[in-house]
Amino acid sequence: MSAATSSPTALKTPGSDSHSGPTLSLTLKIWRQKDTNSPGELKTYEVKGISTHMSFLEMLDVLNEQLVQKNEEPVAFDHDCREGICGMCGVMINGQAHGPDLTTTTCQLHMRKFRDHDTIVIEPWRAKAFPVIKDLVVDRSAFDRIITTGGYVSINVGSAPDGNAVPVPKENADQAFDAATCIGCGACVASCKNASASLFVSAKVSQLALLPQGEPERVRRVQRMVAQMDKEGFGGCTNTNECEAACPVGIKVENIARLNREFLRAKMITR
Amino acid sequence: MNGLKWLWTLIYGDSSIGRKARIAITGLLMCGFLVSHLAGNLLLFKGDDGESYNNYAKFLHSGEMEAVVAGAEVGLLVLFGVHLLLALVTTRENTAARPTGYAMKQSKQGDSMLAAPAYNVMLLTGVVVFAFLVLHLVDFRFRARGSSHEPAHVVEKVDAAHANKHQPITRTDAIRLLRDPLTSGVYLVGCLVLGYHLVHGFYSAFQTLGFNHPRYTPKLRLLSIVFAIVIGVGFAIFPVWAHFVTIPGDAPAAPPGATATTP
Repeated sequence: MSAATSSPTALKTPGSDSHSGPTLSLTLKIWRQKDTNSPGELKTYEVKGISTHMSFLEMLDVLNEQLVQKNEEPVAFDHDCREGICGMCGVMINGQAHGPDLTTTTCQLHMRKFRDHDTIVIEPWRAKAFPVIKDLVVDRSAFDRIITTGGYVSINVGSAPDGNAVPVPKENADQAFDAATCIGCGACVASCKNASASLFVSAKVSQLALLPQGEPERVRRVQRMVAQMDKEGFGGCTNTNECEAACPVGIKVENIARLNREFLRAKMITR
Repeated sequence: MNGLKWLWTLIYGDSSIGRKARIAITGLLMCGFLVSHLAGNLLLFKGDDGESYNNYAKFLHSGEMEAVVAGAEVGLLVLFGVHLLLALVTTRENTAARPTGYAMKQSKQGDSMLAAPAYNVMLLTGVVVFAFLVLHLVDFRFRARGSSHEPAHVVEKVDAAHANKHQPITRTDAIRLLRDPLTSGVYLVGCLVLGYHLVHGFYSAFQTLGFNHPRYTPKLRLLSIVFAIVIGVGFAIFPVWAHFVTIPGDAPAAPPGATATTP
């Protein structure tokens, strides 16, 4: 996961005729932190002429353009596809992961959701396992390390089999696909009062546990991934379901129950 | 010390999910006890001058039941101890997982007002229930607290009961104890807080143990609220009811029209 700083060069000047319709004047309170070891603080910025058609990240681009013009350090934030599918973007917007909309990433949140003269508080994901790299950028490599302990199929499954050769019930295929849509953005951790990664881990365990290809490593996988999750310093799940509400792709807590089931089953049958 | 390592592993587990599963199992077993306890208490309502309740109490203290009750008491103590210990441990782990909090935090859930805050105060409600339980055991199990506000003959009777802890508590004794102002207040609050603890706890235990199904989970959440109300309000009724029921030794009620003599 790279820490990218927004590039304002390709943007139109705020308030130019490229955006028709109403515009917003906003007060932004943004977490500024030089690096992991430096203390951070909320700094206040004023932005004017923000089109309601802009995405939230475009609004931050406008702010950064203003900061660059004033020879100030632009705000660092993660982003990549800006299409809601890569999982790179993600900040706490007024205390909600990815902002007020359900099943929406920060890049897909539009400024029409805000009103003129609103104050918006923008903070990075907060978790011991997600240290701040700079400003709004956090290090989510803890997720990568969890995946390396078992979020894959390591056996040789050969070339693509005939569609009917491996029977998979439709319900299982649907549930596995739903779990596989997790983009690993970390909103579940950020929104959970315990900074628990249970929803992320449960999605990764579920997508493989539900399919025949995942069966041979089923018992080992869940134990190793949960052990790594604990080792990274994430909190435990207390079933508040806030992660499900915050998830931009709608991963359900049903997967956490499956994770618990898989884990307890694995513990019981391991020799 | 190594000899007891297996015991520590059995209690503490080696994973966050394992610890939560232990909290869930001990919680559900204690829910089972609450049901049987409430069922026994309901005998207080029976209008037979306490015969059913007193017989039930005698039966629990009888020779053949002595070992069973003693075993159940030790079992409950272990369940409660493990439940509380692991709740404290996991709360500490969970707090450590976010050393720096948010300047602003809002929920994205549309939960009902009843269910939403319950899961945020599980440790607090649990500690309140623990404090209530200590007083309850002091009053009813060990009978270590007299009721000094009662008339002398009542205190003597309670003290006499202290002298022999194997004597079962009678319906009259129970009602007198429940009339104690401290007992009444603490029991009322304690029982209602227990109910609030169960609003989240009952449902959560099933989820932790891996039970979640789109057909049954919504019903289970509703059942959790119903169960919490039945247990919480069910137990809370007794300290209120005790003030309105007549027992031997009470001053006879004034006959109707007795105050009419005042001009």
